[in-house]
Amino acid sequence: MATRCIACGMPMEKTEEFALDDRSKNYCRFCARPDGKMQNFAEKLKSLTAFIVRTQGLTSEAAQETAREMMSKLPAWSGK
Amino acid sequence: MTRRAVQKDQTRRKILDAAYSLFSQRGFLDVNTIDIAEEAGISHGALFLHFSTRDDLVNAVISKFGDEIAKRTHDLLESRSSLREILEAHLECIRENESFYSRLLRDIHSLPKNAGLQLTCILSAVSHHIFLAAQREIENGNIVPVAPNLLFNTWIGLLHHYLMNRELFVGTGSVVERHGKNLIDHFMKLLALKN
Repeated sequence: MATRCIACGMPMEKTEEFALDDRSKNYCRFCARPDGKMQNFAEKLKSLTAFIVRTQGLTSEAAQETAREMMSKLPAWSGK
Repeated sequence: MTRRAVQKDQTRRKILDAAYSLFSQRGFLDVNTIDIAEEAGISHGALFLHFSTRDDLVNAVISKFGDEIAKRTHDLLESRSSLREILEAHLECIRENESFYSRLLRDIHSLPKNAGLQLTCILSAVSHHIFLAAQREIENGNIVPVAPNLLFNTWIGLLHHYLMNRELFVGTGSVVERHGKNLIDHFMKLLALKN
């Protein structure tokens, strides 16, 4: 049964999908800093916004609004 | 979970399923909460114990659909990695929900703003997989280098045009079944490097 990353919602099944290849982590490798710690809200919002701009070509305002919407439903950021 | 909580959960699910089914058949604008309550087999008042407004219900249906699509795409991609395979997985997910998804695309601008944001979130999950696959294929020299946003928008623009005008392209059938393979072949041909 796949668990979902608490910070971006990605389903995680394979070991390499977990941060630092560590299955006990509840966040994925895309949400980890180089040292393995989970990104904070501002970092995640920035990286997710940049990703949406890059892959869908939205304005940064629209991309940030979308990123906020995605993050609002995830356990790591609810209430932010 | 207590018996009451289980029951509450079951009723909520029934409402979401009923709404999904009616939205798929008739679109989002022609279905009211009375229709949904009737389809779910509950009283109109009971529906509002679970969703305080119609907009809340619409958002919950789209959100559930988005979660399922993300999970399904992820599962389908377990053993696949080429761009063509990703596009096939994308079409497979859409085929399973084609009526609902086509209605959503058509009605999106008349729905609450949140619904539009949710659709962009769903597309974001798809763009993520397409981006990773395309990057690998560009590096391996299989396809021409293209900006990720234009690559994604070319694919999604083509596909959404067919889905939003289903009647024109297939009458009452499935766009994906009738045209899916052609669309992928055409898209891959546009990207292929000339030897």
